[in-house]
Amino acid sequence: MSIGLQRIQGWFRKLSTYDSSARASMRLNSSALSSTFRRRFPILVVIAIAVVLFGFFYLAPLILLLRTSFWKYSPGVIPGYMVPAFTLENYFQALTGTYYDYVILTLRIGLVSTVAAVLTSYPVAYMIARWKNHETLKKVLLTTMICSFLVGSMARVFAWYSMLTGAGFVNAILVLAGLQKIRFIGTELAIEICQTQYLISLATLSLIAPLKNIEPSLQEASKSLGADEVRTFISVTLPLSLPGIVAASLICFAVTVSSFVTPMVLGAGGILMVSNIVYTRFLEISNYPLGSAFAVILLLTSFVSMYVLEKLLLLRFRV
Amino acid sequence: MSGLDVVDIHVRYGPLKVLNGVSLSVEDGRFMTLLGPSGCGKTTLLRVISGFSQPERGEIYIKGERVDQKPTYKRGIGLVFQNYALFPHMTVFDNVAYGLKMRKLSRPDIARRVKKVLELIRLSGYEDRLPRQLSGGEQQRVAMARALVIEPKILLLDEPLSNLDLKLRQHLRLEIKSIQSKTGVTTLYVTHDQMEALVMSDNIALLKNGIIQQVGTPTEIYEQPINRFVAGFVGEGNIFEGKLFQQEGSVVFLTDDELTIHVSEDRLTRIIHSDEKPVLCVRPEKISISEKSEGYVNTFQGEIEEIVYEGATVRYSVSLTPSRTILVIEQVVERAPMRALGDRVYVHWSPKNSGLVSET
Repeated sequence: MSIGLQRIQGWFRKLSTYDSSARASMRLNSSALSSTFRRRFPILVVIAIAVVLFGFFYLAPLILLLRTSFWKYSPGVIPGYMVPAFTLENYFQALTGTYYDYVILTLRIGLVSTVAAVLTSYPVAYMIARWKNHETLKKVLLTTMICSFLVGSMARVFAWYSMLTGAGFVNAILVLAGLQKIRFIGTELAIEICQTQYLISLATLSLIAPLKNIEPSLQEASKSLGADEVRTFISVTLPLSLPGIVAASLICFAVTVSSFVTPMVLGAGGILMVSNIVYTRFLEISNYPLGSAFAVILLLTSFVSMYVLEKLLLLRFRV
Repeated sequence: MSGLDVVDIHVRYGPLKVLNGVSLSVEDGRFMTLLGPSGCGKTTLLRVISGFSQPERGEIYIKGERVDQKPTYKRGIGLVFQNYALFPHMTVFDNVAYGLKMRKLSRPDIARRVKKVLELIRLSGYEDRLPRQLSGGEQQRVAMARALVIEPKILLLDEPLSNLDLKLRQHLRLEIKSIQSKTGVTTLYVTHDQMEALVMSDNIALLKNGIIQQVGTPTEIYEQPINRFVAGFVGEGNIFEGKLFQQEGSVVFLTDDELTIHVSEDRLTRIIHSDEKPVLCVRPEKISISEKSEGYVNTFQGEIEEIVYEGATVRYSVSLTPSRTILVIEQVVERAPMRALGDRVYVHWSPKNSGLVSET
């Protein structure tokens, strides 16, 4: 997940290449590095601390995880119920049969929540970023998004739980409207609703900057050339905000496929996502190799989706 | 026939009146420049004409057709922006073809017209480049092409040269002017650069604080400015304050520091009959400077306070009285005469070059 975030930060950097202050600071850095060792020393210390921390607490566990994912699960063997070996058995297991369904389910929930959230967020972010008037409404929207983003995941999940139970608010409304009650808890839908609500705040906040960065004169140019509002949006605004949309989608997708608390509570045991599988493999049945394999698959899924989206975008839209 | 008519436009931002009853008429096929200092309302007027700002009241006609209630995309305008506003995700071809695609022309037609306009701006072969691969001057020309290719009823340009360096600017002034003549499109050009206005325009409208000060040909604006602002904004001027009075049957101007100046007849009657305080404007290049008096009227003695050698010209600051220093620009026809700071010299100009203007 945090590698994902770095990737996205890189994205944002790429998007802001034309930022002259960023360029200036890059120049500053390089000139500092090429000067005498005395001047370089403090920087090297700082870099060393970062490298050690990153290596120890991030890279090393990751490598261990990768190694474990190729080991053989052997119930009864002390310690750790596993033996060092090189086997792809865990990956086969994870990607076939019942376990495979969990991977697909996780990806589906990620996709549905991301699409729903980005589609909802775009107009909201557009309003906040580009409307010239309605200052109060814009402030209210922005504050709502920030608040909703900052609510703790436990509070959010249990709030939705109480809303979605049989006696909850949503079903009460359904009954009042003369409709059938729906069983939400223990279904995919409940997880998607809760995730989408969280992702809307996340996506809106990350879409505001890219939308603000589109020169108003580009839209005006489009209109002066005979395009109405809709054509201007399709031909100018949308393609120019596409990098922002992709970045937002990547964050949303990565956050969702790795979500843990939401499926645990709202899935009520009926729905398990990959994180929950990883959790139970490690902490309940001590199948470390299979748990590791799932964790690696989750990580790779994030990487691959980012890579593919970025490549597609670079090819298609030259941004 | 009239290409563009703007009738009594009022625009207000809160308590601030940005445009205060602006009326303007550009003849078909003519090049009109809207000139004024920043904040004078010239860009606002352009935005009103293009439909990006709504006027409080007033009417706009393009080729006789009223457009102020129409959205921008139905007004038939071509617009060139200060920052060019080329679509960064489209090639030069797609940028130029954009307006034609919106008009649903056939592909071959689009290709033909884009090719023709790229020839006109001398950028053939640049079709597949992206805007960021072009220099500032090239981007500017693509922006022109994009606006021209749709054959707009009027072309509006908003300070299109202000982001370029001087040499390029001088070159593109003439290029824009020649493209305009070739296409014969009615053009309204907004700038704060008086040289651009003088060089390019058929007519100049000078705007200040949302009010049109003077409309005229470049010569009229330069030689016969109507008021102190116009005189000071276009070109350089020595401004004298004072009053008019009769002397030996003719009218002369007595400055506040008691120089007596013979004035041009041009606007004399009008100034006399108005209540306005008269102001005198003398262009520095119309003043001659010499070592001895030749007995003309309007000859004054002074001392050289500053000399700036500019190659083709030399600028002198000459103090006539302790409180009055005038600027004299001398053409260097022969080799520059050796004058030194502190030299006593005579300056002289003919009465017809001391034009009266009104204070406001």
